[in-house]
Formats: sequence, C-alpha cells, structure tokens
Amino acid sequence: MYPSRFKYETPSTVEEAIGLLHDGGADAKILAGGQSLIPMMKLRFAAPGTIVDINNIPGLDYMRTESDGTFRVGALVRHVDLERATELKDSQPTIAAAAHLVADPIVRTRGTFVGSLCHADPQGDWASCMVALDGSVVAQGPKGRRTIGVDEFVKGPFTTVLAPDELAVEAVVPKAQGVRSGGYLKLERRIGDFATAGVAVAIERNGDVVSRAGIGLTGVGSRTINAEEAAAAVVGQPLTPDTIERAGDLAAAISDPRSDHRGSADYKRHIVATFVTRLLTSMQPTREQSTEERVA
Amino acid sequence: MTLDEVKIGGLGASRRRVEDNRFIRGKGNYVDDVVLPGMLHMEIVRSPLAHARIKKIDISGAYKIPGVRLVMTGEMMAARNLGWMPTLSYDTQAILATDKVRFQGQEVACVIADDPYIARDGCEAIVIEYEPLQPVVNPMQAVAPDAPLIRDDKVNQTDNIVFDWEVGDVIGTDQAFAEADVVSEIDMHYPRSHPSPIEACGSIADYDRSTSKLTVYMTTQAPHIIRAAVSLVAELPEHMIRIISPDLGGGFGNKVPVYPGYVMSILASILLEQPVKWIEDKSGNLISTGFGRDVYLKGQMALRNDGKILGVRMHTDSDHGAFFADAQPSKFKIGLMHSAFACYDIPNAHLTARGYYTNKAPGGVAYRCSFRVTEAMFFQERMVQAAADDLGMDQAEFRRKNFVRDDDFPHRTPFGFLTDSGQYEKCLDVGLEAIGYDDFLKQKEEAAARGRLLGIGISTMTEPLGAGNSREYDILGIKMFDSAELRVHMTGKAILRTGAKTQGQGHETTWAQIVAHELGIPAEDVVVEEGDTDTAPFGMGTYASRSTPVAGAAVSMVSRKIRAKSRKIAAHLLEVSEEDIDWELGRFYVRSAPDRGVTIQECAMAAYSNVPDGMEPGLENNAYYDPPNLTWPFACYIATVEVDPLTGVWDVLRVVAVDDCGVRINPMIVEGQIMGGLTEAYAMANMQFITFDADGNCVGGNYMDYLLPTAWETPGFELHEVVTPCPHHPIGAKGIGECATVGGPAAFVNAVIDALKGTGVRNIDMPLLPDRVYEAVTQHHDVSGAPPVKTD
Amino acid sequence: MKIANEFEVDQPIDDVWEFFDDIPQVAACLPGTTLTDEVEDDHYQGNVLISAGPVKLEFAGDAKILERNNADRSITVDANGAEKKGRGQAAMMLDADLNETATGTRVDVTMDLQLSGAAAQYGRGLVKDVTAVLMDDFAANMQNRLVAIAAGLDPNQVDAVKPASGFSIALRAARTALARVFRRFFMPYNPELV
Repeated sequence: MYPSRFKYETPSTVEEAIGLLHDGGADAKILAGGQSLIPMMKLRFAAPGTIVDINNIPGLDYMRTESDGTFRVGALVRHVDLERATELKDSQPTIAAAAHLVADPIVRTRGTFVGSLCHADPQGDWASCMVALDGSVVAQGPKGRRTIGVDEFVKGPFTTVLAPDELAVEAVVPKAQGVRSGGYLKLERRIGDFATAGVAVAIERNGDVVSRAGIGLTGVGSRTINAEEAAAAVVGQPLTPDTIERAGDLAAAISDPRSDHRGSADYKRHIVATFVTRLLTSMQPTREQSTEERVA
Repeated sequence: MTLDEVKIGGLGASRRRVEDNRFIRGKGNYVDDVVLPGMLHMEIVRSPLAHARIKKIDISGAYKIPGVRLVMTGEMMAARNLGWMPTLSYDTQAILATDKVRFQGQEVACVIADDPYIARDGCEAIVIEYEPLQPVVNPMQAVAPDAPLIRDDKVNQTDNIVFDWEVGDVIGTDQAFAEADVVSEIDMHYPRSHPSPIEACGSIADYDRSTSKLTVYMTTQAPHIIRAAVSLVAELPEHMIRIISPDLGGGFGNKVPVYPGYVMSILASILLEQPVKWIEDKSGNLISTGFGRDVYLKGQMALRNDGKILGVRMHTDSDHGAFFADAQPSKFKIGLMHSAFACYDIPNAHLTARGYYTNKAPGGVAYRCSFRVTEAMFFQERMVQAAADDLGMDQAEFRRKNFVRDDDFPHRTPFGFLTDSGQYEKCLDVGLEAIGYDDFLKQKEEAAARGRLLGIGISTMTEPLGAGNSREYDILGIKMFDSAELRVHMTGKAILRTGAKTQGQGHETTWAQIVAHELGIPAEDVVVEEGDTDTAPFGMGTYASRSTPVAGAAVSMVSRKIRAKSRKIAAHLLEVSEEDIDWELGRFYVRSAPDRGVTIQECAMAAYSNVPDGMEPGLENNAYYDPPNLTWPFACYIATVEVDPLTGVWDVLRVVAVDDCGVRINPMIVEGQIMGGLTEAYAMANMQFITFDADGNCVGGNYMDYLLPTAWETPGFELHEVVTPCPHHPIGAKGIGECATVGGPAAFVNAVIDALKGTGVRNIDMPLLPDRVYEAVTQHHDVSGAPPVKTD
Repeated sequence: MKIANEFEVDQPIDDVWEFFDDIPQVAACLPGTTLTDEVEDDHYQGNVLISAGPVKLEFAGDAKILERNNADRSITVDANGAEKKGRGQAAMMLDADLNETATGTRVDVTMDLQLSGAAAQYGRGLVKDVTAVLMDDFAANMQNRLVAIAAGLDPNQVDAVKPASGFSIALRAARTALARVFRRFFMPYNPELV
C-alpha cells in the first residue's frame, strides 16, 4: 500500500496520546486496530497528517464485568478477545452472538471493539449491539473524561461527537435490569461482507415480563439505527407473537436503507422485520432455540 | 526388478507439488519480488468516467514533485505511434486514451518516479478535464436509437456492433422445430465476472541501450505470444526481446492479453534507459483487465413428447466492452460457444451471435474456460432443465435419453465438433448413486409438506479442451501448438522445458511425472523450467485447460524420442541388436535374457561417454506437438440446496462431482483443480458479479463488492471419478483445469430453480443473491437480466 | 442518486424566489461549500469539502443557473466538479420549484446527483451515504434559512436542524405490516420461520 505521507507517533500514555491529538488537530487520526483506517489510507480517501498509534499504551486491553454487572471493554480489546470470551454467552448474549459475525477471522484478530464504535460505519456491527444494550463510550480529552451514550455518540456516517483531541478509552455496557437475553443476526453474502442488514436485540426480563428492550439496526440507514419504538413494543409484558410481530414491523419502518446491489430498500426492510421476529421468537421462554441456528 | 511407477512419481502418483516447497516458505519469486539496480516505479492515472471526451490534461503539477521522472499521456504515445495497439481479436485498443475515454478505469496517463509513493503523489497532481458523454453499459443501450457511437476512432464503424456471426444448419434446424411437439424456451444472462488472480498484473521493463536488448519480467500466461506482440507493437527485433514470466500468483485467463501497463513500462524504460516497474493494484486489475462472460443467452429447444431433443436454436448478445480484445482462436468470434450440446445426440442446431461495444473494460478472456465454453455449458444445462420441466420429465431421465451412447464414438456434434470418447451415462449413474437421488426426491417432498424448499440440480457436460489442432486453431495466425525440450544429464538427472507457463497448475510436478512414466527417471530427478523466452522452447502458453492436452503431450513425445535414442545406446552397451531388446519402466533388457539389462541412467552416462560409432553424443531432444483433435472430458455435477423462503438465502446441502478426464497424471492435483473449479462455480452462482450503475460506475472494483468465497461459506465437495482414456493423447489424458468452473454453475442454479418448482419461476439469473431469490419466491416470477444496481 | 425534498415556509412567494435567485445564498446551505469566483452572471466557481471521519474529498467546480423561469417560479442549477486529487467527478442538477399556498410558499427541491470515479466505486457506497446526508442537510438548511429570513433573522446565524420524519415512519410501518399479510397469503406457511 502506498498512502500519502503522514507522521507516525507512538505514545505510551493516554495523556501523551491526547496531547498529540491536540497538536495534530483535525488532521490527526488514532490507529488502534486499523482495519478501517488503513484501507482508507491505502485508497487515499483518508490522508491524515498524523497517525497516533495507541497500541503501545499499556492497560487498555482489559475486558471485565464489575461486581454490579457493568461490563467494560478497553480501547485495545480486539474483536477476537470477545469472540473467545465464552463467559459472555450468558452475561452478554448480544455481544457473544455478534462477536463471530464481525468482519472475518483475519480482521477480528486485529480490529478493536471501541475502534469500530469510533469509526461509526453505518454497517458496523458493534454500534448496533451497543445501541440495543444502551451502552456508552468513555472519552478522555484535555479536560478530563466524559461518558456518552452510543446512540448520541454516533452522529452520522463515519462521524461521532468525539472532539479531535478526545480518545475513546472504554466502552461500557450497563448492568442488566433483570435476566438478559439477546442475539445478533446479519445477512451477508460472504463472511467478511458488509451487512445487507443486521439486527441486534437485547432484552431484560423479570419473570416472563420484559423490563427493558433494545434493538439496534445495522446497514439500513446512514447511521446505526436505534429502533426505540420497536423495542418499546415488547416492554412491560411477556413476549407474544403479536408483540414480536409489532416490533418487527416498527423496526422495519424506522429503517431507512438505500437500494443498492445488495438488495432493494424494501427487501432490506423485510430482512429487518424477519430478523427482529426471529431473534425475539428465539427468546420466547418456551422455545429452546439457539439464535445461531437462525443465522442466515 | 521392475520399478513401481507410483513410487518413482510416475502416472497416478499423488506426488506433493514441488513448487509448494518454496511457496509456503515465502520463497516464491514473483514479478514484484524482482528488484533491478536503478529501477523506477510507474503508476497509472485512470479515467473516473465511463465515457467522456478529454478536454485538457495538465501534467505540470506532477513535474513539480521531486522524484517524478516522466509523465506520459496519450498524446505522447501517439507521437511515437503507440497511441493504439492491436488486440488478440483483430481490433485496436488505446494504450493511453487520446481522444476520449471509453470505460471507467481506462488508462489516461502514467507517472514514472523514484518510488511508488512519489508516483502516486504524481498521479494525484495531474489535472484532467473531461466532457462527460452518455455511457453505454449493456447491449440494449448499445443499439438504442440515441446511443452514442463508442468507437468513433474507427473509420468504418457507424454503430456499436462488433460482429454478427453464425454457425450451424439453419434449414435443418427450422425443420426440426416444425416437427417439434413442444418448444421450450429460455432467456438468460451470464453476468460479467473477473478471473481475479490473487496477484494483479505487473511488469518490469529493462531496456539496455548498450546491447539493444529489452528484458521484460511480466505476469503472463503466454510469454511467447507476448514476445511476438511486443516485437510487432514496439517494432523491436524478436531476438532482442526477452520475456520472463516468473512465479505467477494465479492467472485464470486474466494474464493472457497484452495490457497497456506493460507497453507503457516498456516505452518508459526505452525513453529513460532505466528499468521501470509497474505493479497494478487490485482495483486496477478488477476494473480494467480481461473479464469473463457478460453474455445474454436466448435459447429454444425443439422436443418430441417422448423426450427426444430434435434441435436447438441459440442466440447470444455478448458485451465486449470498449475494445474487442477477447482472447480466443481468431476464427471463432464468440469463442467455442458452439461446443454446446456436444454430449447430447442432437441432429440439428443453429447459433447466431452478435457482439457489442459498450463503455466497459475490454477483454473477454477465457476465465478458467476454453473460450466461452463456460457460457455454452451453462446455457446447455439450464436449457436442458427447462426442457425437462416443460415436458414434465425427470431431469436425470431426460439427460439419459439424449446422451450420446458409449458405442457412438466418434460422434459429430450438431455444430461440427468431433467427440471421440466418453461414458456419459455411467458418470451420471455414479453421481445419482452418490447423492442418493431417489431418497432425496422423497426427502424433498416431505420437506415441502412442512413448508421447506429443497432442490436438486444436475449438470452434465463434455467440453472441448486443448486448443488445438492447427487446421482450426490459431491466434492472429499463430497456430496453437506447443513444444517441449528435454535434456538428460550424464547421471540420469534431467531438465525439461516447455512453452507452457504454470500459474498454479503444478507443471513443475506433473511434467516430471510424465517423464517418469515415459523414461523411468524418478520424477524428483527432473527439474522443470518454463516462462523465459530466451531458454524455453516455443509455446502458446497455459490457458483454456490446454497444457496437459498439448504441452503435456509434447513432454511425452520428447521423452519417447529420448527413449528411442537410449534404446540404440542400450543395444550398444548390451552388445545385441536393437530388435532384441525390450523396455520396461526405467530399463532396457535382452528379451532372451531379461537379467541382462541397462537402466536409463546407464544409457544417459553412455550418451556422454560411450556412444556407438557414428552416433551424435549427448541425450537431449525437443518435440513439437500439434494435437489431432481436442480432448473431451466429461463431468456430472449434482448439488442439493435448501432455500429459506423468508430471506431468499439458499444453503448448499451437498455437492457431488463425477469427473472423467481420462488418465490422471497426479490425482491430488486433479482433485485440487476440481475443488477450486467448484468453488469458483459456487461463487458465480451465489455472489459474484461485476455490474455497472446508470452513470457507468463499475460496481465490483474491489473485494468488498466483488466477492471471492472463503473456506467459511464454501460447501464441501464429494469427488468421484470415471476414467475413459483420450484415444489420441499419448498418455490418454484430457484437460481438467476448468471443468468444474464450466459445468458447476448450472448445477447450483438448477438446484435453486428446482426448489422453486411449481411456483412458476423458470429462471433467476446469476448470481442468485438473496434478494433476487426472495423476489422470485414471493412474486412468483423470473428475475432476469444483468443484476441492476438499484438506486432509490 | 435522486433526492427529493419539499417544505413550506410562511413567506410570500416573491421573497422566497429572491432567495433562490441568489446563488451565494443557496450555496451557503450546502455544508463545506466556499464560492471562490463569480465568472459571469449566474456562473460561479467554488469548492465543496466533504469530510466524514477520516475521509476527506474536495471537489472544485462550477455552478451555473441553467434555467430561470420567472413566471413558473422555478429554477435549475447545474453544478459539477472534479475531486482535486482525481478521485472522482460529481455532477448535480438541482431543480427548485415554488408554489404559492394559502399560508405561504411550498418549495419542491429535487437533486439529481451523479458521482463517478473512485469516490463512487469504492467503499460500497461510503461516499453515497455521506453525500445523501449532505443533500438532506442542504435541503434542511435552505428551509432553515428561509424561515430565518422570514423571521427577520440573519440567515448566517441559523444552525442546521434536520427535520423529523415521523409521518413517513408510520407510513412505512403500515406498509411493512401489509407486506407481511401478503406474504402469509401466498407463501407456504411455516410457523417455525415466522
């Protein structure tokens, strides 16, 4: 690859990284996994003046569940770390279901969870999961730290609310308000293909009653979509075929896909409805159905 | 003691590929690995537009960048009479665009600089003003009343039609249709695909003024044709041109043509008197170099109620892009499309073909295919399924009824080819047995009752491989034969050179096996060299599954010449007359006293130390081989699928492949070829296509849009074999490299269509993307045509 | 890529017409735009910087008023440009059509954007995603500026706000529900899959 000329910095602390970002201004970019940035630099769509490589900063590769159930993912946790964390299957079922569907095995060994959120690709899988889970991003800048909900964090295609001198140091999934179930389905033509459409669902239940639900949609709009109304349709009662169907329809309705060579806008909306329905149906307590079986 | 042929790596030995030793250690030597002193780097500026007039090119910005040595434009090339070059199909192609650009990605300028970074910076600094013209992206648009003339550079060209061509018997065919009980019809499109070798194209041109010699390291499957072409285009004497094709990272037909990048690097090296390296990037390769397919196919089949096929009509509308640069025997305008229906006993057939210019990349190459045979066989097997469905006949039974029978050879096909061998019904039976045909039909019925859609698809075909005999086959007048040169050293080790060029086929392994078979020299004692025109004997190169049928036969023949000479030496050593000795693998012996013998190695030593009086010393020879006929392998591919009616996604349940490629030299390599071919077949059926949006943008110019299947989704393949030796090939071998790519797609498509049987859906054009299948399932209609890029 | 927007402003049609007659005013609605030169009447040169995350594309080109119909109150602007480093070409035809309503003026804006070259080819519509948002912002900004002018504010002080689209969401929900019914009707019913 032959990118444009750039300055390469390897800070060893978060503070140093922020200082470099501050100096570099809008022209500085963070390199974590580099699985999106590097291809763009190769194509010269991105020509940052300074690359701030954070891979040498110690202590950012943690992934832990706090005693109250809050789940924290540091900025250098790779997709593959989440894929291999079998304990997440119970505590973070949405993330566990998505982990092996993110990109392809090669990208997963290098790309990072937090980096994917920061890249804000409308076809990114993790942002949908985090929206469904009401997750947030912790950003650190010269003035200190702030926590931003992922739904607010993602501003538009490839755009976040991060200031040029802020570094996303951590992603946070709040503790569950009940028993959590969840899943992720993605229609792709091939492993590593960007999603034609993807759906992340996370629900929390007390007994049979759904106390909280979140639905995030991948690749069906110019940003990750938080299907709030669809999620609300299943809250406050047990899952029933009717509420499930309503959620599917509402999720399809809030989708705003573009027709392209992956399919028409109508088809993509239909896939959203189908996947929301399949995921929620698989979470009905009476059914012992693994979401994986339903992976298209 | 007789040698064990398999143990010495002869025929039938699944010998490990010798070339893999260096490949898996990272020691391969590709064009990009070659570094010459003082080497400069070239990068190409490509057109962003599909069709536009060039108003102005400002190159001054590039020269302001330190390290930029030379900028070339079409104007500069034209001044040296290099604005245009001949194609392999008697057309012309722009080297650098002069008047207008005719496809997106066309070469418009190039920058030669000290390093590849600077070359790219230089490209970015060139400002080109275009006046956009209406783009034409398919044959229908090409003949629309308001269509712009794409080739206004050609004096007598008044429309966008490249050729009209026909073959077959129109009267007989009309008569067959008049007598038909049923006429079955089908309309299809075989989408544009790309061979997409993992290594893109590239060259290093090194012109040395002191010797007047031009050496070019180049990614080419056919170095000798390239040498001839460079000699003609650059007007350099042929003996002063040396083409070296080092290790190739795949070719699949993509590396047969001459590309503008090669020519530009050569001219740049001549102008600068320094080596100039050009390494194409992957997108450049996908959007500008030789594609495959892109043909609209219309077919009609005349049928008798009892299932007998009486005649076939075929029409093709083929999209050749901006320049007719198909790589194929010159005589056949639409390649070997008329090899269709060769395995069926059909009395009458007629084919009409029309080619079109469009604003798309040129070069319909034989992408893992013998010149459009892929389209022909797809057409044939989709047509056969449609006909069986229309007659309400079982698809296996319908094929069985129409196959050419084993005792009918040689058999003249409806378009005039001569097939010579095969056991078609046996192959089908092996396939049906392996897949459990009857059980599956039951299973399918049961599943249907539960709302599940299962389908089974069959594809059976024989195809013409190994072009070809010099009566019929030439490219630009150069006959399509091949040669081999074998030199046996005094210790019995040997070096073999051929004019073919391996690019993954494993010639270094299998050619040595043929020598082992013929001479009893262990395969490991034979080194194989190809690809350097200064050392390799003449050959037409490797594509269209022609290596084993032609160059492989030459290897046999040259080995036999060596054996003949060795026999004389053996007679001399054994002090008997030649008539009194016999040959067994690796050894001559006295017929009456079999214990008295000499090995081939002993003969080799004698060739350099103790030859009979009057005999020329040494043990080497060459052989040119002009095949008497094509080889005709047969294949039966069967796939079973399940379609998810709610998403349109289809999963492959099983794939059974029965291949009869005659005698297998290295069964492991043959199986690898079949698996690779089936993977490509699956890709084309399932996910792969290059299409264009309304603005003429190529969609499929990168690996996020042009999908290569990975091990993850590629189904498993169950392989079976039947062996019918080729009657004219010296070792009975037939071509195999492309069979699965050629025959495979129809099996997958037929299976999906079978799953939708009863819904009224007769056809979904490839690739069978989920949204297209979903549309067919829910709307109960065909989904046809080039996959359009839908926009809101 | 066609993008159509319509909005209403409670301003007399003549005032709105005046706005559209002023290319610098209209150009200011397209984020990232700077006009560099007025070549002649109704013909301007300028740059558009498209920036999204790490991606930056800068187009330089011309905008011309192609047709101005004072009677119908419609205007056609033809803008086209080339990316400065050869990564693509963009051409946009903008049609604005004003209609008098009971309370003011309805504005129909149609934008037909053609992207060519690497910008359109790569990244599976990456640039298209970004430009689609840009075009929506463009229309929203026009509306906001017109509203600001109507309110007697300085249009340059107005922030871009994306209008909500609640109505279309409800409509789509109804359509999807209908499709589901339709599907049940014609498809082999399979409770496991639904």
